[in-house]
Amino acid sequence: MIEFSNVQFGYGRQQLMNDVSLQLHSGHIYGLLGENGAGKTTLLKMIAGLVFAQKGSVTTLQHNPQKRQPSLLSQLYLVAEDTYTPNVSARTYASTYGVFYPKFEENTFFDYLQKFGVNPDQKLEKVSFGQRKKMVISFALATNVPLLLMDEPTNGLDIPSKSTFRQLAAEAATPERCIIISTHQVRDLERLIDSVVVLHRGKIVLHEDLNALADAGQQPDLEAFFKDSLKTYSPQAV
Amino acid sequence: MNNTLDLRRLRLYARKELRENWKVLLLGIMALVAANVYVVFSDWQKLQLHNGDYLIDVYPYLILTISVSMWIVSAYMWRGFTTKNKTLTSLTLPISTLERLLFATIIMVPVVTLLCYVIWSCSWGIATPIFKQNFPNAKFIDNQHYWHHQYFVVISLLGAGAFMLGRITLGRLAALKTLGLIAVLLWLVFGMFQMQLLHLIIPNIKDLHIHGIVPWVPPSIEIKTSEIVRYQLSSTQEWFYHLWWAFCLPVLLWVVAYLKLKEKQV
Repeated sequence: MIEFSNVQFGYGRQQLMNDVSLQLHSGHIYGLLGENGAGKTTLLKMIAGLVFAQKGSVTTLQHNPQKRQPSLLSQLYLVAEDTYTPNVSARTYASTYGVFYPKFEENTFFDYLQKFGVNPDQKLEKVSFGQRKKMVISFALATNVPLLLMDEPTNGLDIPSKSTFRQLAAEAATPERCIIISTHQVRDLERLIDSVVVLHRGKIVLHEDLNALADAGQQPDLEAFFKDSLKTYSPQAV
Repeated sequence: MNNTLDLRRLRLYARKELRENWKVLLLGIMALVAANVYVVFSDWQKLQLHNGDYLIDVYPYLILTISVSMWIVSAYMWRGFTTKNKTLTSLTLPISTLERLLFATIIMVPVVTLLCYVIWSCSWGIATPIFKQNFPNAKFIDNQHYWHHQYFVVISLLGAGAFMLGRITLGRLAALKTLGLIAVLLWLVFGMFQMQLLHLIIPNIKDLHIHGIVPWVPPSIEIKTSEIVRYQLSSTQEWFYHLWWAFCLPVLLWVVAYLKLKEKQV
């Protein structure tokens, strides 16, 4: 579904990704973990074709994301950390933007909004950041796109909403779908993700299937797992 | 799926833009009406001042309105690229770059022209009989040649291209920055560079006179000798010069804007 091969990327002289190779498949909810500035957002943007690899190649759903073709963009949705929404109601947003996604389900969207406690008729510029984020998450899940990218989706959500998010994301996971959630708040993703990718100092330092670990009798504690992987690669940093 | 141009997608994109910007569109129409009313009223005052013995040339107002509107619309059109989060939302919308450019072009050129023309002809259609009734000596000049004058093409299309490009590359306050850049570039090219170049060719050149807006009119130069001599500069290659300013440069700017949008990263 997604393939990074020998990707290099940096902002100016600062190298952010160095020879990154990675394969991500459908049927998984990936947790993309890393410290602040590790390059998690950049990796998501690269998948969506918003930044371009300086060396190596990225393939997303058999497309070159750099071309930003509508056939690719209609199959993925990126929930940004600081998301922008126009000043319309959630209802208008759904009827305006939903048409660009072939599998978008309006009823499911309103159902998700109800679960999050968002009023579909209120103008989005008049609601709080958290409410807007819940609307965008609901929309993203209702698009039924095969590739869902979420950058720090739980930032700005209250505790009950975080729980609702975990429940809805788990329900939305299907064997045809790949969900990638980037976060540095590891606890928020516990019991949701089934695979973990840790990005550290421009490298993928860990790419593990948590289900396989659980089957092998190791019940992984995500936070401990994350800290251990960072210790292994930079003992002085942790 | 056609990844280059799909009319259904274009229609949906147009609907999205209109739903989100109908208030701005309405405000723009009101501003156009207000500008036309102001112009009609000021001409009425001039007629009163000159006891009806005044020439009324209505076409420059239309040309000016279209050009300025085109600049404003082109500066506003791609406001989805002002900030990082807006750019991110814009670039992940499943439409092609060509569709984005095509929609902007449709709004900027035919829609703006038509809208300005309709409002202008309604205003003067109402005002002209009243003017003629009250001031039978008033004369209306039929200067329709402005329509196909190169000033109009250059100012509107070149300006629109520059503002579009500015919107994609200059971020916040792009319109003001573009306006500043245009002013600086014009000053550098036609003020500094042109005089320096003329000094190199004709060392005793005194002054360069341009009767109208540079650079689309043949300038005349003054050369200091025992007495000041004035020459009108003209060339058999002027058509090429005009072609460059009126068509090549605007097209080039629009192509650069398209490519910049295609390569935009956030």
